[in-house]
Amino acid sequence: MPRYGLVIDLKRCIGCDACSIACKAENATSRGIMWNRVLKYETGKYPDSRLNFLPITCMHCEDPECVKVCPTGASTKREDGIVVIDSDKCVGCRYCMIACPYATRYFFDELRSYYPEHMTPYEKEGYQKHKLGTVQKCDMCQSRVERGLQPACVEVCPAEARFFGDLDDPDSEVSRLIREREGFVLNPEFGTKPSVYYLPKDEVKK
Amino acid sequence: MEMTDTLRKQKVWGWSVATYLFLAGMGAGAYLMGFILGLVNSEFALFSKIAIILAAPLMVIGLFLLVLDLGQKQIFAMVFLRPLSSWMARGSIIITIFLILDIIHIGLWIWPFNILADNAGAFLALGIIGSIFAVLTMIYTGLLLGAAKPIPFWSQTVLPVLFLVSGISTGIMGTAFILTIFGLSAGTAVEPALVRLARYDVFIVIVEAIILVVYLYRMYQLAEARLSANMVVIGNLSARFWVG
Repeated sequence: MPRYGLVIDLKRCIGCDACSIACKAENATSRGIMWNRVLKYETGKYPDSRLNFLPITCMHCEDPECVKVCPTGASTKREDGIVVIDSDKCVGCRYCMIACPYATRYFFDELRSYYPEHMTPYEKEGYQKHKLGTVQKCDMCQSRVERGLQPACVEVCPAEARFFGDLDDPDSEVSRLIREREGFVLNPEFGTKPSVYYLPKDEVKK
Repeated sequence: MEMTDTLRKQKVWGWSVATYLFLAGMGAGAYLMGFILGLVNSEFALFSKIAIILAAPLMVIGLFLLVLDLGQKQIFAMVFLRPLSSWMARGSIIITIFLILDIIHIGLWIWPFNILADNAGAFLALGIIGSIFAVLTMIYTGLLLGAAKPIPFWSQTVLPVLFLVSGISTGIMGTAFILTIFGLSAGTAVEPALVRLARYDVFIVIVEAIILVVYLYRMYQLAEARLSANMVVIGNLSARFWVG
């Protein structure tokens, strides 16, 4: 069984948010909910300042806090490492959102369309996938992965900064990149062992 | 930044959970103190009765607010299914058992059920079990918030103690308040007892204040939590902190 993970190359990321948009297009998340987002922050002082980007999504942790605390068993970790939420079991208590150290879970409490008066045909169709009053998050495009495709954010990234693959396979591209470029995870001190790795931006220290 | 304005501030827990914390603390504290004081001193018989009765509506309102807060209210009973998972599941079981025990306690005073338990032993046993669940009701919330690792302000060992002391203090005052506004204590033996109790409660509030100061000070020493501590003491949440 593979253990799927993502590798995000911070040296290549140009902060274009194509991943965020591809995610919305693929998953039809409601307005205001972003399973994937790109944080922007500045380092240094003018004129030596620089804008940096940090794409954030569910870390699909090996030891996920959200799965541990879920009182109903709605949040589970699949054998292939993807952390998913069964919206039929979710009661919407949002304890997982409190427990997640990466704040990548969203509560779908209100259906909001992008245009004030009406929903587009896409929204009408796409929003049926989601259940109001439940918590949702990135599912690593599990339906795409099952069809042998890459997650939408990986596929769309114009800078080729995102990689998807099997972390358990030492010969996979993701494993190789983590090994060769000294990939790291965010906030390892939380001890949840994320499956999303980042490749350092060599010349700029964070 | 163009994306962040469409990212709505996520609503996690709001006023209904906060109100629940207050009501359940008060209810469980009232039950615990009602039972203990009724046991040690017969002067407190009326106080004890009112406290134990008061716990029921407070818990009912509190539990109602909790269910109201859920996204999927119709399947709320799902939270009981995995008691090993977290304090969310265990807590739901604890507060439900506490409410049931309290209702049984009240029910046994009412005809015709009073004949079922006319001996003091039954009340003693019920009261002890009820008190255990009252204590659990007060402290589990502290453990519940402890799961929020990235929020050091919540994940502290003193939090359950703080909630326990706060529950006891508000429980006493809630009961005293009911006794006073309904004039139940006026001119009876309860009145001097109540005055003494108010003095004890001042002492409890002082203990609570000391715990709070220790807590806030420790938080201030932790870099990440300093922001939270400042927010509460001098920042935009300070009005709610000092008045509440």
